[in-house]
Amino acid sequence: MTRAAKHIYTLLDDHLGIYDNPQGIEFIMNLDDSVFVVSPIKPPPEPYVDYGLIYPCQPFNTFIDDFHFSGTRALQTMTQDKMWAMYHKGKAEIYCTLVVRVIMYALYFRLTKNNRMIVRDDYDREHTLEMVFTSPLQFLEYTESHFYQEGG
Amino acid sequence: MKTEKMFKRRVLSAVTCYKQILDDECKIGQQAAKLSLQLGVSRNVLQEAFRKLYGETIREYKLRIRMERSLQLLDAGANLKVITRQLGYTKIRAFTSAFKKHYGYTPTTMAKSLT
Repeated sequence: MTRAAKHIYTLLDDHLGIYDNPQGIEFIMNLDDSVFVVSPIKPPPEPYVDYGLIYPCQPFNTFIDDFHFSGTRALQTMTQDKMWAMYHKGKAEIYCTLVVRVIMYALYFRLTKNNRMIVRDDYDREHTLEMVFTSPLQFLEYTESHFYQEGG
Repeated sequence: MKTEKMFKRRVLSAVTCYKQILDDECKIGQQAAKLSLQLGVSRNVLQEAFRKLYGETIREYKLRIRMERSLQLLDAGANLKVITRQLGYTKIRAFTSAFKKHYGYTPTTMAKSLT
């Protein structure tokens, strides 16, 4: 582990696995030291929708390599632009979650190298879309239609 | 020969006090390093003594009780926004992903099985 990685590990550990940077980007470190990053996109397309960018769970070293962090400051000053850059590289996803009390239904959309879009659900079932969505409403409509198809 | 590190009474008392704070407050705002200084011990010593006394690191312990608390809240019928806030996450997505990573099920699936 590099020195920068050690410092970042200590920072996340010191915050007991939940670190929210000043720009509102939340870093979560799990029991197995894997990390995921969440950055909501505001405003969501509807009030009942949780919508944003997520860097899905990866081992700690992969997380450090993917983001090219040079130290804790890079993590503390990270903005949503970095998450968008990760999205365009296919390493982060757009999540669209319908939330009603304890009911939640989520789909995750990511880009591939040949500019196609892959959708996965919470059980990691994946399929490819015919087109690439860009507007929040497209993500929402697709998520809602899938939710109803599955008997929601 | 294996040597067992002995901790001073002051350190053990700080660890017990720290655990009490973790138990009382699911949502802990203070960093471990700052809190350990307030308790008069260094973070590394606190960490080491905590693991020795309770068999898991501070973060492991905190995550475990956070997840146990989320089950109690789901069972009590709390909604995801409330649970997220009470556990110290700022985003629903962060809580639900952490929950699924920990239990292998989404909170929705778990809530259905609890009813």
